[in-house]
Amino acid sequence: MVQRTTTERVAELDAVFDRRFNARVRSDLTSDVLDELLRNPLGPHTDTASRVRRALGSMTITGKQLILSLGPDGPWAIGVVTVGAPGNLVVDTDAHHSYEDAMRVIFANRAAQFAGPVGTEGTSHGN
Amino acid sequence: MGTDTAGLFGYSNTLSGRPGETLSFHVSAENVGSYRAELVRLRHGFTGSAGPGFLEDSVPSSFDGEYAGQAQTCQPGSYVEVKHDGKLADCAETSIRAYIYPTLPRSERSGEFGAYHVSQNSMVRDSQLQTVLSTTIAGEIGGYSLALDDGIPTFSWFADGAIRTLTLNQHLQDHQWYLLEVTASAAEGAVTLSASPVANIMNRNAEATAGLDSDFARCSATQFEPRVGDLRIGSSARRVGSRLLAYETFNGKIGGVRIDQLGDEPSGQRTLGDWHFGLSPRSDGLLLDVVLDKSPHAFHGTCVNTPTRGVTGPLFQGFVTDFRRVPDEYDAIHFHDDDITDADWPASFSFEIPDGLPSGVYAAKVSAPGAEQYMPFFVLPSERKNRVAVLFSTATYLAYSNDRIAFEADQAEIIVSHTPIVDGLDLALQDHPEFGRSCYEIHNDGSGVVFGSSRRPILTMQPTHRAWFQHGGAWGLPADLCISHWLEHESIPFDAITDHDLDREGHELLDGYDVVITGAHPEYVTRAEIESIDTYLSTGGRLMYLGGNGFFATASFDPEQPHVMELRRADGGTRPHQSPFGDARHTTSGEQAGLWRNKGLPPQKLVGVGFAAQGFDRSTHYERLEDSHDPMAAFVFDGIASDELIGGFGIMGGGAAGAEIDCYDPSLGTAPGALLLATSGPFSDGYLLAAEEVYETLPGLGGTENPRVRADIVLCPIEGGGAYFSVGSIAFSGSLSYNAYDNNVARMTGNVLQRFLRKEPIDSVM
Repeated sequence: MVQRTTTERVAELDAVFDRRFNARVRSDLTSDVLDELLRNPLGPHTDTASRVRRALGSMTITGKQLILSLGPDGPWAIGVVTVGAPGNLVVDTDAHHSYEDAMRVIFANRAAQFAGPVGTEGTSHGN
Repeated sequence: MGTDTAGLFGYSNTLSGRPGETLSFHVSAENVGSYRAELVRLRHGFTGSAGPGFLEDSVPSSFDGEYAGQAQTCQPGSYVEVKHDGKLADCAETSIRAYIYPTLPRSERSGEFGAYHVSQNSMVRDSQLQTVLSTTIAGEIGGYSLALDDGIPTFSWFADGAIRTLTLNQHLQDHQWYLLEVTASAAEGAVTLSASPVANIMNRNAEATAGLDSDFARCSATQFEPRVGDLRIGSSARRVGSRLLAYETFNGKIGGVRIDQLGDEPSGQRTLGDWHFGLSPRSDGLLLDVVLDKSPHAFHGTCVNTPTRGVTGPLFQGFVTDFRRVPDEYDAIHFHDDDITDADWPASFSFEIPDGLPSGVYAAKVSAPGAEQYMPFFVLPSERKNRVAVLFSTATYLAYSNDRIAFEADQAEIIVSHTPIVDGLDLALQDHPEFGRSCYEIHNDGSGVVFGSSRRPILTMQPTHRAWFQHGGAWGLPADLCISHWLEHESIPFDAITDHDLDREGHELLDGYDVVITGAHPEYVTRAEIESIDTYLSTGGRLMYLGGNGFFATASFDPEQPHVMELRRADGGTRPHQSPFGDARHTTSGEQAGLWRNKGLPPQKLVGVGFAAQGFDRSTHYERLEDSHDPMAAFVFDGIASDELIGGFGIMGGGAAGAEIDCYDPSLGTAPGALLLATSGPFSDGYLLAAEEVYETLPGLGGTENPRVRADIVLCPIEGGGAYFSVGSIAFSGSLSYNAYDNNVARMTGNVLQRFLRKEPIDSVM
């Protein structure tokens, strides 16, 4: 038997946690909760919406979306953290009139990724 | 890293000076043929329309003019440079010994580090070699080098103009002490290399279970081509122009380095070098940049880019954690390939501060089409001229300098409760990893950054920079400019002083000022600063603490290189990372690292309030409490209705109470006579109780459940005529300018300032 590494064992534990965590968050991610987040991105949020917001925001930094301020009062763009790109950020061409609008787009994107198409596992917290 | 776009970057040799003193400015021009330099006075930083906008005044100066642009190289990587008389040039007939504790032997890091779960490294290594010691220069013939090659010990030397190497078989394990030994003998016709694990309390795994073996290799060798030049410990060298920069730097600790000459001479004569990293040449025992050689040759070394000293070595026993008491147990230095405390660029121009230049916040501004950079500095008064001084938080500026967390940490978004908002300066910083990291970050090897320095471009100290963690994020210098511009609006002239100056000059710097005003976030201060402010208050001084999370944790400045600030992290309380056991004492002061409240000096004792919580979603207002109606406090609320909410507006999160907040706490030393004037409105659960308040983790730490999650305003008269007024909120400064300064935050603050400027004791009702 090939000897397993500590990294592999830790990854196994992470996968167990992610399975449980993602199941809980998917059950919490209702259309009402998503509506609440989109309506008021900066909160305050209900306990359930806060839990979902944290889940959507705790994905690993690689490939994660940030908001880029393009001027003193905006507009704002969304970029994806990509080491090696200029500024380590691949910036989307769409401009948003408020950073809250940009947050709405990010919420919607992440919620879709997180839930995934019906019948699939979607993108997990650990991805 | 260079880019194709135009860029100007620079720094000054010091952050403050008085008339008659000379500052030098060091500029790198990327894709810029020439640039204009001018002196400007910085009046207001935040650029958005929610405030006065960015305001600067051009001031004629001796350095105004056009300058030819020249790109400079900023090379991170710390090491010890050892100059010698040629005796270390040739490795033939020598033995070399070094203990090493690699922290990133394979050059690739995995896992999550620190409070924010840093999982990505935006600084990419370009070599799998890490140098233990070397006399070589990349691309040049001669010399020798002991290194790790993708984690495997290797010794290399030159013969017939070609490099030869002897390499072991086994990868070294990270966070494990090893003894590396080399013998090189032309007479014997051989080179040997060995690596042996060393038992030590700080090894990651127990000796019995680590499964480590010694490793040995031998090869024939009869020629060793020397190179006359310096020996470097922790790095080799590459030549760029006339400079020899760090190259293939080691990540981890090195100690017990010794080079002996093989042969029959008496043992004392055989030693060519025997460096003891735990010994200090100073009477106070501080470990600064000089490294002592115990050998008769006294080839003392010099640290470059401030590697971390005062760290546990291969002989550490675990009983005593003061490097000054057990120097043999601290014979080690921790090197990092991303350490950078002096870019060491040539001066582009200099400026003798002229007599008559008013004290204030200035910058050398360099500009060219498509590029601009401010090099801020503070002009102190030549003699006391104004009644008010503003204490600018230069230690905290350095702690946050070049913060990259939003690009590297999984949990950056979680701590601020929203997607981080970055700006163009943050992208420029990503394109220039060589400008180094903040003290909130993690080195490439996973250890925490504990030194900040002003001798490198600091993009987060640009007056227009916005912090990613607070929408509308005026933070550091831009936040403090909100205070100084409010004073300008009030037509109150002030003198600018800094943490550096107060630490160096003590309470005499404050003596005679009627009022001293802090910045928005004086988080990191030295013991001398706390003692100076305490003396100032007890001798009639009046302090307006217009910030949050102030006087929180221990900082110190290198007494010989004050541009270097040290900020280690103890194992308790709010902290972005934590120094390993035994490594938590400042080598520039001898002071134990950590929170002042854990060392008998909680901020409540000094200014009535202390750090309670932090959050970054929405700020809120203050509401008045019963003490606000005490006749002694009537002046504070002159013109403010008894039921009026204060500060439900502002640049930072939309309120005056927010970001990092402080609370009144008699149990931590708030004076019995301090009036509790106001407390904050409600916070969300994005605001969480400070870690130092959590002895065991219990549910309910958020703002909707925990009564300690609040910002309080306190006024305290002090016997002898002194007083302090503390607002306990970083966001406070961002509310001053709302509605063109016509608001109740500016009014309340102005009321206090005007009353504090009157000599009558505060507890005499007027």
